[in-house]
Amino acid sequence: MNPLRIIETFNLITGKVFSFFVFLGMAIVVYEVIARYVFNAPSVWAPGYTQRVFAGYFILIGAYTLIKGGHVRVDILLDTRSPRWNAFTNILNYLALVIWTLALSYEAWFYFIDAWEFNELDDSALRHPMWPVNLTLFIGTSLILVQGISGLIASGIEFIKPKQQIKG
Amino acid sequence: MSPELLTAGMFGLLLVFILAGVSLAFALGSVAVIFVVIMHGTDGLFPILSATFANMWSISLAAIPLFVMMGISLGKSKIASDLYRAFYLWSGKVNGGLLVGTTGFASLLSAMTGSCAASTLTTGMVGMPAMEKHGYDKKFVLGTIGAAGTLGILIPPSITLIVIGMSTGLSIGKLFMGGLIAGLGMLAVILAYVVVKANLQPEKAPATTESVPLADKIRSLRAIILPVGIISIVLLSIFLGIATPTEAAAVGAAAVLLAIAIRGELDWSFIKDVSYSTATMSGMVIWIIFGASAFVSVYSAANGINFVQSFLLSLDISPWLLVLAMQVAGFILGMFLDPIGIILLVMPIFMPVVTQLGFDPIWFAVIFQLNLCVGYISPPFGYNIFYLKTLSPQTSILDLYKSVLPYVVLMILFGVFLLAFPSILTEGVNILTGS
Repeated sequence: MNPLRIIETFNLITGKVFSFFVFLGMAIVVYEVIARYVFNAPSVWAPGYTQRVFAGYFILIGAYTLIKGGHVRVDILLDTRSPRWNAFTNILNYLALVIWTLALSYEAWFYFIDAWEFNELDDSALRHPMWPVNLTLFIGTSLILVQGISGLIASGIEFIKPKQQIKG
Repeated sequence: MSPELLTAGMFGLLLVFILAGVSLAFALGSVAVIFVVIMHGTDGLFPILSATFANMWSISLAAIPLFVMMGISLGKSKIASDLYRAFYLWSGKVNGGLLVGTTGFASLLSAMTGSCAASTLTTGMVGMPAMEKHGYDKKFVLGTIGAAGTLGILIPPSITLIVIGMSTGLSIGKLFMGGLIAGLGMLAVILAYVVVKANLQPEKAPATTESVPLADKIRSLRAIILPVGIISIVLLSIFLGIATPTEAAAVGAAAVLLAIAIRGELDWSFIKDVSYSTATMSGMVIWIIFGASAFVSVYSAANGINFVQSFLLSLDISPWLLVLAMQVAGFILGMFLDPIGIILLVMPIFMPVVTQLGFDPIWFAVIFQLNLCVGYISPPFGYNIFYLKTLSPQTSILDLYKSVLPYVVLMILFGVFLLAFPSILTEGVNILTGS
């Protein structure tokens, strides 16, 4: 199987699985609202875990959104009739993504290592370790980086050897 | 790097990237990385990461996917078409009646979904066939749907207003209230225009002749009670300060899902559909926020924001002219860029200037938001024009420009009116909050 396809499939599955986190997050917040306002017994874990669930959600749906073409672009100069020009605009798009997410995942790695070595704790009442959050940040930014590199390669090939357009 | 060079460089490169079709989020993030590396080398990269981290760790941002999910569930369930039927039955046997009903529907849907694209497309799809059948003028219909469809970013619960609140520290409840006043006011103006025009040119929006039994009309109202009820409870709990926007959004989304389950529509394929669509839409918004906050943190750390602010304040022009200029900037940017991106880029620059000049920040922010709506339907590049084009591919783009133009003018006039009489918004918000 084509490695670019493997990356895309992997990212699609990851995105789909973690897209359900929105229901999990909703359930936790609703639970907390009921516990606090109805039973007057706020839970200790809900606020911190709402943060964790949505942090994971935000970072892990990035690559999925990319594959689905969800990151908005100004399309005045896109989808022209020249396949080479279209490939060029895609190269620029992926290049910008790679520059940004390379910096993100590079920094996220050290951020994770710091949290791990010094056993940093979160600021909620639970004082649970921070490293899983920082690791998720690293994984999420790396996944979209890899997807970006794969897109860059695909549009590079398309730029050098555009597929024949069907005349008609 | 001097602030002049930094400003020209960062915004210049951003503009080039955006025009070349780079996604807004990636353009913002990569420009931030490029400039921080030029200034400080790779050792200076940490602020790029901490900008992302601060946002993903923010509990208020969780309101965004929850509101998105609530809107998408409502839009995808049959509640939307039942709702249209209610508006249709009640619009009655008067000139332009169907269009008035459709406008009401479009703005309610837009408020629920917070998405101009979704509400414009859905309204067009469910509403246009009926109006065509009754001989309504297509251009009149398209222009009205396009205009009403943009109000969703103004009428709460509005994601863009949440982002304004987060980036400026203003109360989201007060912003929502300002948005409600301005949004309903704008809606009234649009409706008045439709009624007047339909009576002056009845051939463009003829009255229907079919009569509907009252019992059917009343029965159709059940469809309205649910969405309006849920939205009112969500908004009230935020206005009264009982719940945070995130809590209100979660309870609202759960209520909508429960209602859909009771209607028997909540099967696995519906859940999957909602989950995936929510992810792409939230992913877009959240990653623009990541990119924009990286951009702003680099620009601000290199003294860019101070530079622009002191430049604006040193201008020897009247404060009113300055406010007007900032509003015009919002309108122009709104024609090209996504509203969320604009807010995150310019609010940190404009807001301190507004407060320093002694103006009310809520007033400024709400009118700014109205300008973003106008930008959304303004020729030549407003997004909504292209959505209208997909609704009616045979209508030429020039005809679409003509059909939205009256609404663009009306919206601008309404914005000027709100600017000229600040007390409508400032007093209105105060009365509603009871302070």
